Amino acid sequence: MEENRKKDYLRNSNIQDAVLFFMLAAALMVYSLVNHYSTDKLEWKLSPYLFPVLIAVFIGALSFSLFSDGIRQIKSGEKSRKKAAIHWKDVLFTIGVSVAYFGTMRFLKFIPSTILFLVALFLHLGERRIWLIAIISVLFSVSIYIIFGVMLHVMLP
Amino acid sequence: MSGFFDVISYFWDFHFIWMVFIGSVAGLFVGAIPGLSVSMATALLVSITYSWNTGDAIATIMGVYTVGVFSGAISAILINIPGAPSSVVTTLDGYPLAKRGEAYKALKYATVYSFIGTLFGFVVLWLAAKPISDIALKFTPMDYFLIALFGLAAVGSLTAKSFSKGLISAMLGLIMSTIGIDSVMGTPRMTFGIYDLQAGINIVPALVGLFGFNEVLSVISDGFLKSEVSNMVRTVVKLKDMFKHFFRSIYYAVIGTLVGALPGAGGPVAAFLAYGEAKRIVKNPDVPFGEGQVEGIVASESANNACIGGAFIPMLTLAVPGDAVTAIILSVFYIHGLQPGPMFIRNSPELFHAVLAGGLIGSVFILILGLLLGPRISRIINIPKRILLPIVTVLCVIGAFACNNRMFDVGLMFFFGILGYLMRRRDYPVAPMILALVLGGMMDNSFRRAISLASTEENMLAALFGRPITLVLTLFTIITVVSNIPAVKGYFDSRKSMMKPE
Repeated sequence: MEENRKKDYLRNSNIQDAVLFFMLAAALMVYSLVNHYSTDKLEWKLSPYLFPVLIAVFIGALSFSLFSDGIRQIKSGEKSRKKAAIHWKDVLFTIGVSVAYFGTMRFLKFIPSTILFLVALFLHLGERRIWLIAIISVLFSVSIYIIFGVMLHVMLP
Repeated sequence: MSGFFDVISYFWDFHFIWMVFIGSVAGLFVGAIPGLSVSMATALLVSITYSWNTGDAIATIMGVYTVGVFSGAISAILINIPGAPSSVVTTLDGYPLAKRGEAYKALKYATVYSFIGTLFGFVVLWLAAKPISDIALKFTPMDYFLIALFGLAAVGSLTAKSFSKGLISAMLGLIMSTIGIDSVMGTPRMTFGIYDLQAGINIVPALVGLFGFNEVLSVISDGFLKSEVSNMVRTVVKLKDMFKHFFRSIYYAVIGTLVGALPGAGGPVAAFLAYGEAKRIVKNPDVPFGEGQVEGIVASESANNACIGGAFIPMLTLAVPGDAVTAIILSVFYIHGLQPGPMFIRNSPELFHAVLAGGLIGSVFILILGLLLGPRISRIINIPKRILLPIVTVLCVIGAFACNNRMFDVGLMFFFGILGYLMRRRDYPVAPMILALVLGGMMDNSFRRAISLASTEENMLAALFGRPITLVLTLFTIITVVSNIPAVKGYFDSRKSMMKPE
């Protein structure tokens, strides 16, 4: 019984978040105080750390409020509403490919890296018509380069 | 009305009209395609219009904003998926009408009453901006701090199911706004030795990430939206029937403008309130609400479009944006070296007139594009997401890079996109974070200036809070915060249920 109760507390998303934000508030407070007092003769009214201290106080108070929301949720037996299934693999793949795109742009430049990125994502998201993938990837990358880079004078990565 | 002829003169400026038109066409598609949002398009436009002259940038953005808010109704009616959050209420009666084969009629009502709502909102902006600016001239730094705090509290309470979560999102935005060189002391703050952070968190990559890449990840995460477009049969709608709702639509537009002027409330809240009023006013509807009653579309569309003009009132006169899109537009002003606030109308009347003219011309384009193209873009609404999402990601990369030509900003955009996605998964709204990012610098400076000024007075508390305006603002902020504390809310709810007759 006690074990289940403990599990309820640990599994409650509001309580998890409350702990995280309380730690963030504490870290922000420590960072601000240490930096303020390590600067010679700095008055609080001019200190760059006055506002972060105020934010830390607010976040600390809000983490307690979130914690009490979680407690109330457990006591009332209210379960977090079920969300639709998350396609984690697709999300992680998209993030991974985007990071790779970010990395390869430095070496391959805009057009080749964009074509590679689009092909990878189109294929992963389920487009199977290779001719369509090829046409859209190349046409889109080149036309973006012409419209933004040449006509609108927007710098491209 | 200030500068009547100056505003009207834009109606003969074909270059200006052309720029509004380009924005309007972009807004029509962006608003109508679920998964693309007006906020996302405006955020991308900020970086594209960075090198343009301010008038052109404003014209294009006004076109996207006005028509984009309206066109959310197109997909709401045709496929039961609102293209923009403001159009959620339109689905309630729009889609049942479309299912009955009256999609054309529903679109026509949505177009005409969106036009009326938008027009009304901008006329109110025109009339109200100057008097409000005059009052705002009397504000002290503490008042500005309190207005921004009130704005964040209001956004927190209106955009999230949990008030704490809304405010935490705002606080995270405030933390991020303090990163960089401190403007008062000139020392780096929270940069942790990272050179690129010394310039602070650039608002554009943050916006593009939170509204663009976040949206891409969310759509992928939820699986793809499968939808079926309703058939379009052209039907005749009599003018007499159409304008039967005119006077009530003005009432809904008043609700929309007032809600729009409240920081953070925005279109969805206005549409819900107006819909509730419509149900209250129309006692015996021929078709029940929720089953295809056109009054529901009239209420929702007049109110959510009137919000646009309303949202500009605090943005232009107090530099406090009314919603996420005006927060982005505020950053456009800053990027172009402009300072919205009480002196804006005096110092930059031509740009105030450009905003008004852009909105008014945009509302005309709602009518033209809505009636001509609205019924015809049903095929485009159904672009497969597997094609659309990778393209949007590339546009996000370009948008993030174009502002400062730094790859670091592209990294920031991805960071904010992932952060926004995680926040959304745990029910934290991103709008308060954006508002806080935009307002953070002003709040920090105003707070320190207020404390510095008050510290020279004998009674510091009286110097900080002694003025009537400051007291009123403090009271508003406290009421907003206290009324959202669950225990207080619960007490009033139980009192309300006790008062209700059995």
